[in-house]
Amino acid sequence: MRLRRIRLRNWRGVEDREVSFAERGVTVVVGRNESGKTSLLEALDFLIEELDSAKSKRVLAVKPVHRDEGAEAEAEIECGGRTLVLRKRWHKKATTTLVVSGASSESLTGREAHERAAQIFGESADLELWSALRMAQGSEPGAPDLSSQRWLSQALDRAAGDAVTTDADTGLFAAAQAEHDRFWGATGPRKELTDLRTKRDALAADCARLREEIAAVERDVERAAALERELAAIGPKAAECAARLTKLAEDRRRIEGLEAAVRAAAARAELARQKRSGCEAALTTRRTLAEDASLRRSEVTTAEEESARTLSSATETAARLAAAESAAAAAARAFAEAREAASLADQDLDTLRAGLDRDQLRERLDRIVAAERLAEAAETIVAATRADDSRLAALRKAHEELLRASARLEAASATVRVAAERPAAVRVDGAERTVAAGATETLVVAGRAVVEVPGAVAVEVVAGSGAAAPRDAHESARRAFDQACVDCGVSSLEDAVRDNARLAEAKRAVEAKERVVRENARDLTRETIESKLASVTTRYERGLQGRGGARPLPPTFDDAQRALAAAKDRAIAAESESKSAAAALDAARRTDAAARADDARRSGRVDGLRAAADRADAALTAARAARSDEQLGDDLVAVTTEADDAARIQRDAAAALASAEPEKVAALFAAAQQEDAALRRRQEEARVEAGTIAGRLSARGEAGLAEALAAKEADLEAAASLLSSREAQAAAAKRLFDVLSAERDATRARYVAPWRDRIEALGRIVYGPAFRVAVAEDLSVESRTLGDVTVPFASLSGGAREQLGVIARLAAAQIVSPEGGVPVMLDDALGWSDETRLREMCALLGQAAKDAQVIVLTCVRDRYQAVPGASFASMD
Amino acid sequence: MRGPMVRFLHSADWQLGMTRRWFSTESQARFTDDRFEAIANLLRAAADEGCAFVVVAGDVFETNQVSRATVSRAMDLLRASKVPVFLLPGNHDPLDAASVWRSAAFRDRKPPQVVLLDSPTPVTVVPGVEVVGAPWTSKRPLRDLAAAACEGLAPTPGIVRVLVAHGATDTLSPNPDDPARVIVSDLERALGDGRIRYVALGDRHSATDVGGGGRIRYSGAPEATDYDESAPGFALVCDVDETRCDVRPVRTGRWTFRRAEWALAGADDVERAAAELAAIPDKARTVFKATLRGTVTLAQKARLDAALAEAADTLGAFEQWERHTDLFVRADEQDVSSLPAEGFARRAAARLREEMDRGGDGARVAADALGLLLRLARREGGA
Repeated sequence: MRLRRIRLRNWRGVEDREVSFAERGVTVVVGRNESGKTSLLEALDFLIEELDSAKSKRVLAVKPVHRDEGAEAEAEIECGGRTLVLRKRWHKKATTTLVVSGASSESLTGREAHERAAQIFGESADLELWSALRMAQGSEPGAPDLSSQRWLSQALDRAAGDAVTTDADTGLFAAAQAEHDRFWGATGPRKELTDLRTKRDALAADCARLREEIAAVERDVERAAALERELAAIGPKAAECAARLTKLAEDRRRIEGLEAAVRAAAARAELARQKRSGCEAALTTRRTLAEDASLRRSEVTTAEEESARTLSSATETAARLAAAESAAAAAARAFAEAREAASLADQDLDTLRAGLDRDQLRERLDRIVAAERLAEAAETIVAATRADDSRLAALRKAHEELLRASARLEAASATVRVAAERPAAVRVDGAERTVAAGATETLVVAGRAVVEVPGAVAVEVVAGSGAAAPRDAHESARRAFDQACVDCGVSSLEDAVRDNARLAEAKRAVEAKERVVRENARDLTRETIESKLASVTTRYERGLQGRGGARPLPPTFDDAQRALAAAKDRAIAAESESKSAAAALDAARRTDAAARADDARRSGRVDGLRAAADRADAALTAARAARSDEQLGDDLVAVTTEADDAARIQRDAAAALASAEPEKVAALFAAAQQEDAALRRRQEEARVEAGTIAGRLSARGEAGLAEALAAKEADLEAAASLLSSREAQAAAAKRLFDVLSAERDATRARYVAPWRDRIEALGRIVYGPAFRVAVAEDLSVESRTLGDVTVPFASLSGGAREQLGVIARLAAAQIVSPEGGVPVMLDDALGWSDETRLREMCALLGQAAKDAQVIVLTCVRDRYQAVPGASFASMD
Repeated sequence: MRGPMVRFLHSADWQLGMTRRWFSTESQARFTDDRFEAIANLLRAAADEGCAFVVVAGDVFETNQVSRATVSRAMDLLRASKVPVFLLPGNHDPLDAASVWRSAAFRDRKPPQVVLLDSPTPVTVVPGVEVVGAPWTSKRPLRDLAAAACEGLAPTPGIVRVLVAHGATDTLSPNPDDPARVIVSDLERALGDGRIRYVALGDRHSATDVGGGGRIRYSGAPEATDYDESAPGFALVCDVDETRCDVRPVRTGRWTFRRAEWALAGADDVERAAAELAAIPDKARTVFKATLRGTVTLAQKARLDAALAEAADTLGAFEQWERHTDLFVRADEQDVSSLPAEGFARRAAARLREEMDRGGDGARVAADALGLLLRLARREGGA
């Protein structure tokens, strides 16, 4: 559908206005506010929808206010390969005319024209889509509602490449859903199915219960038969057992008689045995009495003899005791003396040891003192002597220098020899000296010298100038030598050598002292030595005083040691002897005491034995008086015969009893009794159990359990079969619904894809390559994504929503364009967009409108100035 | 002395109280009523044929645990008999501790003409005619009860003895180790030496002449009870003396148990099966078990299901023998292309068809789902 032109007459404020539209591309209709732009859209709607006779409120509303004229609209529209010119007038002189040209021409009026136009539009154009692609002034900016756009849907179906979704598909889907919902609710199977399952389970439980009851009956039947067989078997057994029991009871009674006879014979035999024992005891007693009396008498005699022997023994032991006592006293004394002698010898040894110690210590001390004294003198020498080795070396050196200087001077100097023919006193430089006759005094003059023979001659010798330097050197050496002498504290080299030797000796003395002190003091100090010396001296002197001079001190220490050893040996020997004597004394004492005690005891015993012998004699005499020994013998013979008889009778009775086998009979009887009781008990139990079972069976047997079970099983079979059938139906309904849903969803997904692709292709012109949208099944735009940022449509800004709205409309127009295209009409859109966006949107409009007709109504011409290839029409 | 000719009616295996759990409630009620009616027919036949008495050779009741009502109803029927009726405890209703024969319902309601054969002691019916029972006293007897009953008998000239026994004979029993098997040769000896003249057997639901001599017979059940029976629904009218034994069946039952095995390979086979079902006479008293094999399309399956559903509604009972049924349902192109939808519904149909072709557990559900889709499409199309 393409809009070619539209004309309004007497429409609201518009007197007469016609606007033409470009068939493709953008037509921008510019007009001031209230210039009638929106009326163009309104008039198009009226032409299509309203009969010329309409009196509705919205029709009345377009009647011009100040003119009594009918509002009139005329549009030229291309639709389905035809060109329609439709004109209508309302309110006054209502008219409708339609002229169709194209493949066939038509010219119609009135209602016929209206309906024909409606028919053509209905067949060829999607008026709903047209309405949806219109962006109205002042409305909430948003994406178009395209959920039920037939042409768009078909276009998308074709784009999806599948057969179209037909009404039959949706009808079948609805029917399948209804079938599904018959069986399945939101959470699972519906009540019908669950009720059937519950019923089936309940019936199965009933059947199981009945089967169990029947099984119980069967068990009871089996048991009853078993009990019956058992009772039948018990009868003969019980009779046989009773007969056996009777026979055994008789045997038992006979055995009881035999047992009584055995008991009586035993009692008689026992009595006879007792009597015989009594006689034997009396005889034994008599014999014992006689033996006792005799024995006691002989004991008295023996004791008396022993007593006499012990008395003499006691006397001997007393004498041995006295001798032992004196021997012990003598030995003790000897021991004391020997111990004293050893003590004295020991003291002597100690005194001698102290004397030796004293001498040694004193010697050591003396050596230390002497060394110290020598060292003291040497130290004085060391302190006073300066000619140590270094100074002596220096002096020797200075001396050598002087000798060399003298030699050199002498060589350079004048030599004056004064030869005396007679002893002569010569004065050389004022110094007197005597020259022996025939001697020559040689003078060496380095500078000037005057040799006088007093009163005779004064010869002045002056050395030449070559002697001046040696003279000075000699003088210097002289001074150095003199200074070295001073340093050594001597006047000559020889003195210095001597002093140096003394110094060395003194130093050796000092060193010797250290050694002497070390060797003699050893680990002690001098003070300790002195203190020890005092101590041992005192000990020695005391030792001497203690002796008192009665005995001479042994001459040597070794003598003293030998004396001490001898004294100790003697003391040990004396001690041993003393101990032996003491032991002998103890033994003698004990022997004596024992002898005396033995004597006393034996005396007492003899007295006791005499009394006992007297008593025994008396008892024997008395017994014989009562019954003589012969009488007792006769008694024994008589009772022995009686006892033998009784024993024989007892043996006979026991033999008779044994042959009757009492244990065996008793055991058999007990066993028979037990068996009898058990049989009776079992009989009774079996009868009771059989009775119980019979009672139970009579109660259950007529309950018709098997028939009841069969009826229940039939019910169960029917319920299970119904359930199975319903479950199969439910499963089929579910499977069908699931498969249909899956296929429908897949179709929808394929169907939505080209729509989304088209929006994104157009949107990238504005938003760049990162632009994406999510599109719902109802074709609504759900969200916009730019790069990583996704924003739900409702949360986008007004401008963005409006832009997306325009993009979506243009996309829809492009998709349906090839056959059922409708114009996109934007009334005062893009007022929300900033300038940059606006430029981009203009570019987009130009691009999108290549395949579609886009009509923009605006009061701001500049807003769309940048749309490429746009046509402009003015309403003013 | 030659014994009298005696005419009596031989029946067995009434198994009153029997139910068939795959029956609907109504069918079961009809089945039960008809089974009692068969007894009534039998008693009428005995009277009409001038029988001196009736012997029922065991399993009068389905179990010992039948309801009081069943016992009462049976006694009420028997009360109408004009001749004595001898009842033998069989393996279903042995004379054990819980036996129906010891129940108050039986004791209190037993009509005077009913005689329970509770021991092998011969019972004189009329002078010269004795009935000897071999009653079961437990479910597992340890010997041949018929032989045991004969042991106490001596050939008695002038007396016709009818032995009433129950159980499988050694010539027919599949179990050679069963100690209770009835040994036919022993019976033939007893027949030969004249201790007995006829053996009325029960247990086998099909009327059978055992051994071919004509004097040892199973009467069969008076009403059909299962598919494997041949000639059920009869009682035997027996004319017996020392030299003759004439036996002829009289019809007592109405029910039929039928089985069919259909190999289905296309629409024609499906139609034939439907026609076979439709042609069944006296549907209300016919029990039908079908075994289905082969491959059908979804549309054919729908047609078959409709026919089977109709059969289930009209037959006494209809069973599909699942154990032996091996019917493969496939969807052919026509099934899918018949769908009016061209979009996702058609793709869903194709997908379900693929699932069917894959087989396995999912195939059956897929077949049902696709069948449902086609049914919905038909309904939508019709709407």
